[in-house]
Formats: sequence, C-alpha cells, structure tokens
Amino acid sequence: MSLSRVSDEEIQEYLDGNLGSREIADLRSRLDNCDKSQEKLREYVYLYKALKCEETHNLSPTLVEAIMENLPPLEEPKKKLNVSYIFAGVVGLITLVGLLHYFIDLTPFVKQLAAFPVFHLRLNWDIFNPLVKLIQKLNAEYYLVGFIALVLMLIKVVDFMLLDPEYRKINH
Amino acid sequence: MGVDMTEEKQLVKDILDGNSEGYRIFIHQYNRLVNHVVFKMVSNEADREDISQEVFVKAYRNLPNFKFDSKVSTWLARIAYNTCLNYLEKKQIPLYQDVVAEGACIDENPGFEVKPDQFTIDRNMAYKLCREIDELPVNYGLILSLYHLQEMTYKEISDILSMPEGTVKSYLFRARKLLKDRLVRNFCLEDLCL
Repeated sequence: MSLSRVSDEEIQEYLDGNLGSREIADLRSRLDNCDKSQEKLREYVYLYKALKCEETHNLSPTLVEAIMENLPPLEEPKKKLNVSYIFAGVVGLITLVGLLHYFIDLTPFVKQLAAFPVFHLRLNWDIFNPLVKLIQKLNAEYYLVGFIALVLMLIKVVDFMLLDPEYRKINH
Repeated sequence: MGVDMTEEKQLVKDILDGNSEGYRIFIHQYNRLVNHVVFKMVSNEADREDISQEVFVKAYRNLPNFKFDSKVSTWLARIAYNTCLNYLEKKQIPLYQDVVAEGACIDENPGFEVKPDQFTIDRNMAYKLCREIDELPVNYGLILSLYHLQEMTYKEISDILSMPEGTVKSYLFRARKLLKDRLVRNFCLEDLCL
C-alpha cells in the first residue's frame, strides 16, 4: 500500500465510480494520511456538484414554431445492401431448390406444363429454346407453378430484408 | 437524457407516419441536448439559434435513415456536433487551442473550507461556472457537458465526437483539472455558493 499523495486522476476515477473496492480502500487510507489530498478531494467533489448545476438553455417558443413551420419533406430512406442478407438469401434459395428437388416429384408438373399451348408453338427465337428445353427437362407440371411462387415469395422476403428500413419493423 | 428506447422508437415512428406534431415533442425532448452542444461550441449568440434550428431541420430530414443503431440522443448530438464543426470551419475558429496549465499553486488557495454536502449552488454560481467553462477549449467544455449534464458514457461521447474512448477520457480528466484549478484560483467559496 503506497501512502503517497493522491493524484488528480485517481480522485476523478474515484468520483466517477471507476475504482474497484481494493483501490478504494487504498485511496481512502492515503486520504486519511494526507491533508492536501483531502483538500483536493473536497475541491473535486465541489466541482462535480457544480457541474451538475451548470446553466441550461432552452429554445425559445418562437424558434420552435419557426422550426415546425419550415420542416422539409422527409427524405426517402437510403437503400443499403447488406452482404450478410444477400448471403442468407442465396443460401435460402439453394436450400429451397434442393428440398424441392429431393422431396417433390416434378414429373407430373412438367407434363402438365408441356401440354400448355405456349410450349407447343414452334418458337423460332433461339433464346426461348433453352428455356423450353430446361422446363421440359425438369419434367415438372403443377409443382413448377408452386415452385415459382415459392421462389417469388423468397425473393420478396429477401427484398424486404435488403431494402426496407428498420423503422417499418417497429412493433407497437 | 433518460428517454426510454421504446418511447424513442414510438416517437420516431409517429413522426415518420406523418404526425409532424410529434416532432414538436421531439424538439422539446431533445432541445436541451442540442443546446448543450451548440452553446458549448458556438460563442456568437446570434448564430446559436440559427444553428439549433438547422440541427433540428437536418434531423427531421434524415429521420427516415435513422436505424436505431444508437440512441436518438447520440445520433442527434452527432448531427449537432457536425453542424457546429461546419460553422467553426467556415468562421475559421480553431476547435482546439493550447491551454497553459494555469493555477499551478492551488494548494495555497484558502477557499475550500466547507464540507462538500453543506453547500448549495445558485443560478449565479451556474452563470460563473458557465463563463469558466467557456474559457476552456471548445471540445473540453462539450465533453464536460455531455458527461456531467447529459450523463453520457465515454462510448456515447466517443461516437458523437468520432474519437477514441481513451481520448475522450483523457480530455475529460484534463478539462476537469483545468476547470477546478481556474475555479480555485478565481473564486473563493463565499463567492460561489449561497
């Protein structure tokens, strides 16, 4: 235990409540043995109390009215992309496709879809051919519609997470 | 100060839902905080009201972008601080100035003979204290106000001033020491207290 004079910093730490019980005990014993330190502590206690009573200022009522009258339109919330949400969305999408592929037999789905008039048309545009082939390859019918709906829903959920501001999620 | 986070969220939601009168409540709730920042950083009385007004208008405009990553008070104080910084820059007023450690011989001062819990502080004292704080570097006074009057933590103050917590703590210590030395040197207790 040191019996040196207590420093300004130690007194401030003490009054801020940042000292542990051992440090407080040490500080008190040093204070008991040093009049100068006690005086310094009194000065700081006085200062702390005075700082709590510092003059405060309020806006004049006319200024409040002026602010209220000149309020600008609210800004549109800035849209920020969050990498973790994108990652979660992609993982979710892959998981969904995997689950659908594993649990659902898409054969009747594609058969039904293939019977749909549009797919009987002979499309000359090359860009549609791979798509038609893909759908036929998937061999899906009814379930494909459900699958697309689910994907769209998932996209909406991801879109909501990515683009909607936090304040819309506030609960009453 | 002392505003519950749920109340803060509800108030902000009301304002964003189009209840502009809610903003009047918002102003009343936070005007003390904004004024603490503005009055500490801007000495020109004519400019203070304009800056306070600018702070509240900026805050209103940006409210939709506030994500509650921090308390409203911290966010608003940061807007106030940055607005004042811009003002000081325009006026070319330095944020920091060298402060010589005055009053080195405080031990010889005979003023403090009273037990700390026996005094009260009147408005006159508050005025004198304000004048003494105004003599400190801008950031010192601001940190004192945010810590002691707004009861903010080192972390909150460091977020507002965009400086490390350690720096905030060290400024706070220096500010209190400087202020104490000035008070001890310039006043005796009878002058300051009832």
